[in-house]
Amino acid sequence: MNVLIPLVAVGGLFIVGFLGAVLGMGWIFGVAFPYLAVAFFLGGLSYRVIGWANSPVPFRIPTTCGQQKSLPWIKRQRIENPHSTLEVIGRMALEVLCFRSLLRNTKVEMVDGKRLVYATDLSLWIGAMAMHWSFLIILIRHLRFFTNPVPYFATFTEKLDGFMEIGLPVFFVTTVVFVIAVAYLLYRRLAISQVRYISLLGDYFPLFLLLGIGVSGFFLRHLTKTDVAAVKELALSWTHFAPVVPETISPLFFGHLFLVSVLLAYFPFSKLAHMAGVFLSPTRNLANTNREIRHINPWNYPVKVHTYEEYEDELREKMKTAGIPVERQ
Amino acid sequence: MAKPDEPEFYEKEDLLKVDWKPPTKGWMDVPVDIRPGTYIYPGKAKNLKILDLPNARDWAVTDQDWKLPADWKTTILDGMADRLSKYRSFKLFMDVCVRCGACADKCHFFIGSGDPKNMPVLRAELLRSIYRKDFTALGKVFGKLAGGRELTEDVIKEWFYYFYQCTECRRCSVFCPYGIDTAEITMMGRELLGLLGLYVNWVIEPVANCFMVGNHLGIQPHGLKDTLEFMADDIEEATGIRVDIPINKKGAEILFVTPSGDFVAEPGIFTCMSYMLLFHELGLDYTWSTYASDGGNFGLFTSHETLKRLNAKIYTEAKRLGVKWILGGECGHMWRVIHQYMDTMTGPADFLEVPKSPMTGTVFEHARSTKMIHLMEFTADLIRNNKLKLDPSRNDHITVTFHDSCNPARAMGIFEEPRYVIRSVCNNFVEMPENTIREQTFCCGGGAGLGTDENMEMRLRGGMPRGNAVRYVQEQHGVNQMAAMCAIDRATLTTVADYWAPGVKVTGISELVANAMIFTGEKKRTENLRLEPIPGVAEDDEVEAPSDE
Amino acid sequence: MTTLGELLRDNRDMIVQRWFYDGLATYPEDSASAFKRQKDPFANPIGHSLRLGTKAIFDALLDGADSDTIQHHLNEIVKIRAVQQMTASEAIRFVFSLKQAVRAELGHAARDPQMVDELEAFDGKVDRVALAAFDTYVQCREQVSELRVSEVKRQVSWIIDRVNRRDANPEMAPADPA
Repeated sequence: MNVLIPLVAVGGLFIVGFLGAVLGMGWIFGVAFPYLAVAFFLGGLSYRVIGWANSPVPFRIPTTCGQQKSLPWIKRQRIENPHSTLEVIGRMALEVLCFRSLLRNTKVEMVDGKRLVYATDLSLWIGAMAMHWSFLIILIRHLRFFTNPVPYFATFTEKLDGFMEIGLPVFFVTTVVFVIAVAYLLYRRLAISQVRYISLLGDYFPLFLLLGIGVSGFFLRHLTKTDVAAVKELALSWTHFAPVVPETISPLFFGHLFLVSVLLAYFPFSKLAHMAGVFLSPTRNLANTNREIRHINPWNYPVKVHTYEEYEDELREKMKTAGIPVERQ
Repeated sequence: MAKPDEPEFYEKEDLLKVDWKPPTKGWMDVPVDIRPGTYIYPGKAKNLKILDLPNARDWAVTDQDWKLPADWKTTILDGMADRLSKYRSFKLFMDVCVRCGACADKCHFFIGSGDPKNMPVLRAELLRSIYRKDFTALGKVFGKLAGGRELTEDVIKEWFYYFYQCTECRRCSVFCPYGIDTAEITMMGRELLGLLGLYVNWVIEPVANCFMVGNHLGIQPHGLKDTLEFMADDIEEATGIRVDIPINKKGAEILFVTPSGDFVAEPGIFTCMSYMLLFHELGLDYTWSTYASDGGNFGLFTSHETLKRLNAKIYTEAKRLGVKWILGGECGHMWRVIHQYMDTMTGPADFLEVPKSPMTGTVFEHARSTKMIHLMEFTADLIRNNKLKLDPSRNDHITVTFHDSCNPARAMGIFEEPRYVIRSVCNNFVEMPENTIREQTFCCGGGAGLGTDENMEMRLRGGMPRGNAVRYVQEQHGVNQMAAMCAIDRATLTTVADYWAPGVKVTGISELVANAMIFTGEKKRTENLRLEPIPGVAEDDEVEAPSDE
Repeated sequence: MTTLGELLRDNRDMIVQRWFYDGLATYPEDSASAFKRQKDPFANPIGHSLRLGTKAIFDALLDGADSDTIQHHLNEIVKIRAVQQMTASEAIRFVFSLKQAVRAELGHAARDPQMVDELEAFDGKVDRVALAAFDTYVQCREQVSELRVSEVKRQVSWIIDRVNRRDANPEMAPADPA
């Protein structure tokens, strides 16, 4: 159920977009929905981030993964156990750009029952890195639809991406990598039963959505060639807030576009919001300066304690008998 | 042909009647299976009353009716809302998990039990499913489809079972790409249960004791003095030295705080004796306190408020006694509290001075604000500056390995100080496998208020990964002792080792130090602090004896 | 004519593998797959001990090795199962499933009349292993109870001993027997 429903839903959504265009609702699917989706995305994401930021961080609770700063002659680990803002930025950069924690997925194998071999279980890390980075590069490539003239870094990325120079138009490495990576992540979720056990509908849906977007994108570029100029005209018109929907765009494109719209709108309200959330994680983004700089809890409130005076009153005689000093005789 | 991984493989053979579980039901539909040996007895009413906690009553985990208050559902949901608005960690960790599964096989309880709800991700989902249902837009509309579920009494029972099956060791948070810390989630889960009066007695009784008398064991001032004097007797028997016992001494330079576990149980007492010997030899101007006679704080396993109620004593007492700074003994969760909570909760300690070693003059700048340092930081500095006379060969009969305790490791990062000290006092030191030490260290299975005896089975499950690594170094390198700087470790790892790696004893680091130290005016050391003969020395005697005559 | 011993030896890997998976089948499916996949003895002690143990016990049965070897490996496996969420029968059932694993792998050969006698003898051996497993299980459970008791004792014995020493002779400093 958790797998089937999202699969059908994504298929359905694609067909809705496709049919919408066939039935001449290009303006709705080409203008109204994309605008709405972007509004949802920006509004929703801001709402989420503000929501998180509104909850304070009462305690400084970094997870330390390396030697602390203590005595000067003990070598400390600046990234794994950061002690300054700069080091925290380093830790976060590694986490966000390289998925440092997933890279830690080490295991040891005993060969022949005697010899220990250390290895790293990289499958999840590779899958995640491939998916996220190729997605980012694909996004950058798509900038050429939205800009005129196309910025240098977009064309440069495109050139790099198409370095194999196979096919016409040139095949992009990232398209293939992206689709394979998403498919692998999906496979992993289904094949490893413990991951399948913990997976919810909300875990499959985005994967199918990304797969749908990737595959339809591949079709648009390589198999059923789209009128690229027309698409660019549409995209540019969005940015000028004077939307025009050219007649020559194929319905397939609207299927693709509608899936993207759904993704954007769905993004902030689902687990995908981790993209923004990772930056706020208090176990990662705080320096381990706990004993050096006092962390302030904005809602710190007085609590009922058992005071020393009460304590001594209750135990004074026993303390005196034992010869333990007391405040009042 | 079907492969052995596939269920068909089993079905095709008529002869084969294997108890292969069919594809399991979703975890939300699997009720919790509570059996003796796995859970901890509930908190007694009298203890809850001492602490003014709600719904004090006597009940049993095996009861059908847990006597929840009438409006329990609202209490929980309001409690969640309150905590979501107060703790970014809680709110964020409810939202950002992508269920990638990286944490799944990192929990010692999962590894040792095979119970899927011990995967950190599922432990969190127990709470998250309620959060989604009642606090998120998608969950409110789509309910179960969006991963939400109804809050029922069974859910509460499940929480009680599994949140007291987590030792808040934070190992999973090391592997999580978003740093999701199950300890935070367990802490919130336990706070919520507490709103309904659901506590375990092994946590709440120590808390009540600590609140009233100053330490978890409920040792009253005169009892503490007796205990320390008994230790002084044993010290004298082993070394010929009589140590002073300063108690509640006003104007001392240093207040010494250690977990009360060091006062009674073996082998913790030997660690405590070692503190006393070390301070005596240094001529340290220090004092014990009876009011703040526990650095440990089971409030951490109860709620943030209780944590603060117990922790307040340390600074209060430091102020009353007029000490300059505070030194903390070998403890695990105590150091999580000292390092990550104390200053924020009960500081600022502006009446104290930045810790400075009277022997070496080293100023511990990294504790500039909290004004409290770890005994291993203090000892490492002493050894580095040659302030201790050491004869590591006295420990030659020991091959020691070091167990990083969860909290000092993952909430502080004190890895090298203890190792430096151990290497200085022991010639034979062996590390356990890489993925079982330092930030990846495995818990003893008895932390966070789980270290009692009625849940022994569960503890042995949780202790299995650690025990397994110990046995490996025992077999490969002849390890016969495991050092740990945590009072709970010293109590519970002893049991874990007895079961999983029989023959390995547990020791505090200070004990190793004291056994290697040459004290001014000591007699010939033939016994260690456990009053056991030191092997090498005894043999020497036999050889030397005839020539002396 | 091949003997049962030879047949078992030829099919050793498949039998042992099947037996191993049967042993894991006592765990929920999702956990079993984790134990199956992860070969790291430290990250996966359950799977590791079962994997090594089933292989070693099977070999020992074939070679007629002494009961100590079998006992050792049995101990490795049962020790774990004795503290898990299993009944006694669930904990040692895996031993019996060796019989089925053998029959399943041998297929028609197992039904050969000449083989039946030999199989019966083999079954007898398996039953003896099962009885030993039962002993081990009980030992482990007893040990768990002992550990509970001794842990409680450790918490009080030292202090009680010291108090007794003092109260027996209050004038004498306990540390100085001279």
